[in-house]
Amino acid sequence: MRRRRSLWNKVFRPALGRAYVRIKGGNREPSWVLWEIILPMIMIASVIWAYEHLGAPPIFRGFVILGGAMMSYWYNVLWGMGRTLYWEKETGNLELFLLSDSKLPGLLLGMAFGGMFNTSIRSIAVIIMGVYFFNAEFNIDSLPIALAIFFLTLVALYGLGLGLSGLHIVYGRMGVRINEALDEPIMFLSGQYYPISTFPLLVQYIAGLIPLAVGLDGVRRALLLGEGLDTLYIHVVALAVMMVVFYFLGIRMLNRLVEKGKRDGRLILRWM
Amino acid sequence: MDVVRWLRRFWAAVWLTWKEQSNWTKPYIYILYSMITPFFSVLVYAYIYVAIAFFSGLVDLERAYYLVTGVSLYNFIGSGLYGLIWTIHSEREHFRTLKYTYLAFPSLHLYLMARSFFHFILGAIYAFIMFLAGIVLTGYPIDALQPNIMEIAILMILGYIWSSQLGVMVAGTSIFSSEYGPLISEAVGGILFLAGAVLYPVSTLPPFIQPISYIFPMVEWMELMRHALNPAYVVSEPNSLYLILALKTFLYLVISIIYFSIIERLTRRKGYLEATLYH
Repeated sequence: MRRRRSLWNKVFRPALGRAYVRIKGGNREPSWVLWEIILPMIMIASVIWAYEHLGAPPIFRGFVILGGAMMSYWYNVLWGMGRTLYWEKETGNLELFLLSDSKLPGLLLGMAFGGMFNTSIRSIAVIIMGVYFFNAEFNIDSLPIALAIFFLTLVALYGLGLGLSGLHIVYGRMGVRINEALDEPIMFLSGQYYPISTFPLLVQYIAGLIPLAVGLDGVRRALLLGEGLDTLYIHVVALAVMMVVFYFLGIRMLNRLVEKGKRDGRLILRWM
Repeated sequence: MDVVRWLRRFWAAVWLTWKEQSNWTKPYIYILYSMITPFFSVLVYAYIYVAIAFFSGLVDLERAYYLVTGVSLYNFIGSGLYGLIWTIHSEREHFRTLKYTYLAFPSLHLYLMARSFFHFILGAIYAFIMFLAGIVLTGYPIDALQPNIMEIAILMILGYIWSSQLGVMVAGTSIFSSEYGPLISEAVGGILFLAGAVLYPVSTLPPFIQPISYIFPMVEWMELMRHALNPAYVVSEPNSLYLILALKTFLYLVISIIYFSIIERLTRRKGYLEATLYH
């Protein structure tokens, strides 16, 4: 009982507190929300018109819209955790968090949850606009399996984000640079604008190690091709395995990096 | 006018940008790091063409050339533009050095242009790598290209002038808003990508968006660059396009000088050089 209460106080309460800040902060100005819907929509519209120029079948509109909507989770959940933590370090809050009794993964859970909530508002709006302006069609019957795959993807991204956010704490700006350098390769390997089945087999195997690529492929197959659990169980199993593996690896990596940060005295260093 | 002194100042700002961007790392590490983004970026967009070819068997090398050149050349404009506009945001909000820069450097307009120069150089390198990678990936015959180096050089200079002036105007506007500064820069870059004949011709756009394309010199610049890289790419009346591009570039230069001087005066009066929101 005491252990359960301790888990609540040290992990979930800080998570709720930090998620509240992120949700409140991210949505307090309605015009920001509007901008954050319009800007990705500009890129999505560009790619849809590029496909039209190339004479692509209409199903590609759905590919692009789902890709654009789900890619935001990579930026805002996975790297959002690290970037927010870096920002906390820059503003001097990180040392207070580390001195407090709450656990860092709890705090990161709050950041991830806040990021998921904010991104979901924008992504849903992007999908609605995609349907309205570009007549994209989705298979609603497969929505439950698509949502299940989507949820597993987010949890796997959280696990991966735990470890990678440690880079931001210890390496500061270098962590930001690593983040930036990985954006384009992940966009490509996740098949942001096209199905990953167009890749050579070796590249498909590499993409299979990225939860976003597996999740996006599963959601697309469900919502665009109408596939069910009988064909998508591989995606579910792969994501469930990734969820567990990335969580434990992420915690390990985060602890090691925080330890290194403490040892080298880099946790309170700013502008580096 | 002391040209040597002017160039020394310009060089100092370029050097500062290099140091900041490379995070004081070794040049070869930064060069390797810099190659990752353009290489994968061209894969992202060139694969749009590959995906279509894969699914429907449609192979249209002219359209592949259009796509690859557009994405590659956009890097030159986009990299410089973003770099310039972000200077205001990062110096004022992040490093809080904008007010010192303003005191130390005789002209903020010139300083912004110098800070963006590094990004334009980087953008040109990106464009070159992406172009080669994209051409190979889409299977466009390299031997069909007959680049006109002189024409490309002139167009690069014109591109630097108009896009840096556009960047100066946007950066000047962003001084008034810490909250919206980065969003404004993203929006301008996005509109150029959408309406600047990057992935498709302007005629593909819905009619209500098409007039936006002609506000910017991007369409003429893109078309002429495509023609300069490969004379087989036919543009109607290249001389008229050159004339329009030169006129628009001149107009951007004049408007930016006037606009920025007004902005600068207002900024000083309202004390916005050190107004931070800590975001």
